[in-house]
Amino acid sequence: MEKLVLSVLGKDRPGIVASIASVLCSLGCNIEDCSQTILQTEFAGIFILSNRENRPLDVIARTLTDRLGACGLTVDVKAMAENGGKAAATESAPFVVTTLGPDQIGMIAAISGALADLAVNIINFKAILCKEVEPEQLMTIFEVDVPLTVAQSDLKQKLAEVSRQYNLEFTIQHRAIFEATNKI
Amino acid sequence: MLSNLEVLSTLEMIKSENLDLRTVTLGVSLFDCVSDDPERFQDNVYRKIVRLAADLVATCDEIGEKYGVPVVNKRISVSPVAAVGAALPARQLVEMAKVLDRAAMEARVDFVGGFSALVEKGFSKGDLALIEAIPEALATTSRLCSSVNVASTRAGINMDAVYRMGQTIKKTAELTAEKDALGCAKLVVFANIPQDVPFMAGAYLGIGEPEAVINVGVSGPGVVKKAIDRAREAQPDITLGELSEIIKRTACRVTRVGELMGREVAGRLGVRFGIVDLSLAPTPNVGDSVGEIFQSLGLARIGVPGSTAVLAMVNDAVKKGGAFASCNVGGLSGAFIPVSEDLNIANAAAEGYLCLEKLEAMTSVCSVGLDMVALPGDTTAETLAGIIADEMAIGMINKKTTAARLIPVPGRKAGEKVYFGGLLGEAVIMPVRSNDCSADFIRRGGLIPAPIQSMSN
Repeated sequence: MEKLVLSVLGKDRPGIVASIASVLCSLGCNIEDCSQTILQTEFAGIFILSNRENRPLDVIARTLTDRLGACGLTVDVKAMAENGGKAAATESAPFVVTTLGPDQIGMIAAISGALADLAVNIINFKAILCKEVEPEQLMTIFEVDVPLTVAQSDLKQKLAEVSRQYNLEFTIQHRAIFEATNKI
Repeated sequence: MLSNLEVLSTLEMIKSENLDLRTVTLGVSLFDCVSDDPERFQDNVYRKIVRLAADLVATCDEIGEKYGVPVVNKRISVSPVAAVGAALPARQLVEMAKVLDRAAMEARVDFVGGFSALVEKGFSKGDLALIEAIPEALATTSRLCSSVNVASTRAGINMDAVYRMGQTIKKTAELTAEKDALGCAKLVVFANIPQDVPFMAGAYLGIGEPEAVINVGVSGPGVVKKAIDRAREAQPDITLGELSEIIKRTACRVTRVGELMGREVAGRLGVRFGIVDLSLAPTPNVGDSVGEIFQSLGLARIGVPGSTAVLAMVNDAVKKGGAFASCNVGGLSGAFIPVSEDLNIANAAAEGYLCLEKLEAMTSVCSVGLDMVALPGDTTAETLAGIIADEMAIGMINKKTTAARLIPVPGRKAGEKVYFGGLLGEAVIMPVRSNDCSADFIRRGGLIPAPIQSMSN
């Protein structure tokens, strides 16, 4: 059975998920997995669907675009690659990287670039703008998987270089410390 | 996924609230080092410690880096030297002390503990030799710590040992007089000493302990204080019961850090993980103080009326939270109130809010005793012994550990300031009321029999 990936963007309001789910139901698509979030005023959702009735992709795409577009939502749907297109798994350890400093264009590109250079995969990324301080500070939280072949000291050095360039404070800690102090 | 709050609160604990792993202590059994040739014995001891501790400091630093939580002190505890060196005379035990000191230096640890004797019911030959060796051993080493257990709930109080320790403390003070009697800061007299304390100066490896073991001590007074402050700000009418719950939860979080990191250090070193000592251990820094917790809970200073009640509540909440966080809780596990090692407590004593008698009362509800208390140089050995005896009685009757780390500073008077340096801190000398009024009682000697509480079988 074919799997599809659907992403939906739009201004947040009550009823968005209900609208999406209702259209999918009418198309015979089952929601297998989904994640949604709200950033400031904007809704974003990503859905993995199974195309149970094997309807053509263009029919599904058109129906979703027409019906959800009418509600002011932007839709993109495509076929999901075999195995999710996942690269061969490398052994890794979970770490959390945070940065704090003045909000500047290019800093997230630089931090994520430093992570990418060492093949460190970002699992979850959040940026929080602190407007109460002048200049505005941006805190970033990256949950990452660090390949076991990468030394923590090398990653730290890379992050230190970026942090110097953008005047940031940064931390890098194994994720277990956050779990130990927060989860029972 | 972690929530923003989870990430931020953990970062805050480490960065702003001085959360660290206060000590990772490697226990090393010395029983297999014994030889009838003193030089060979010393060589065996040195080699074994250096071998087992070779990677201790580097491993602790690596784990500290991995989790972003510094391991402040790395230490070694050994089997009680009075037992392993029972055949040696005092002068040979002083040599053994120097060997332990050299091994600690080679392993790059801060302290080595275990120059110890257990004499609650009487002395063996080795115990007497060790106690005789203590002053010179502490005066000629820099990293050695010594402890003597003189009382227990099971055995009562060995008053001969109490008097002997009063004299030993005086002599140690004299031999280290040029350093404000620093030797006494590394000498503790105990009742009910635990076998697995990771904190100095009381750490030694008990006779029932494994060949080698990692015991860890957490810190966290700053974290507890900030949690109380935040709760009070969010809810101005918060009650003590609710605050106790907050302390409990905070202690749980802090202890989990010790458990996580201690197990990993032990795993990497290939030795058993022993216990987490969940004591709130302060340092002489602002924001890392047990005394400040008293102020956050509404007292003007530690030592004013209400202090014993506050300490009882804090100590109990810390235990409850810590016990939930780890199934291997041990050591002292409560709240420490070491006068010179906690800036806020030292100031409360200097300003007259905290006197020796109030401190003693407070030790009946916390995990240690009269700790790092600087006293006038003219305090007699009998008076020191009297103070120790009182402290031991509290431990004996309440079935708990109590200890006395008393520092009579030669040539100095009450109100004068003394400096010990580093984590040992600085303090104003506390006055001793009724000096030299206990001699007849102390010189009587013998055993104070085990109390009725001992008959629990």
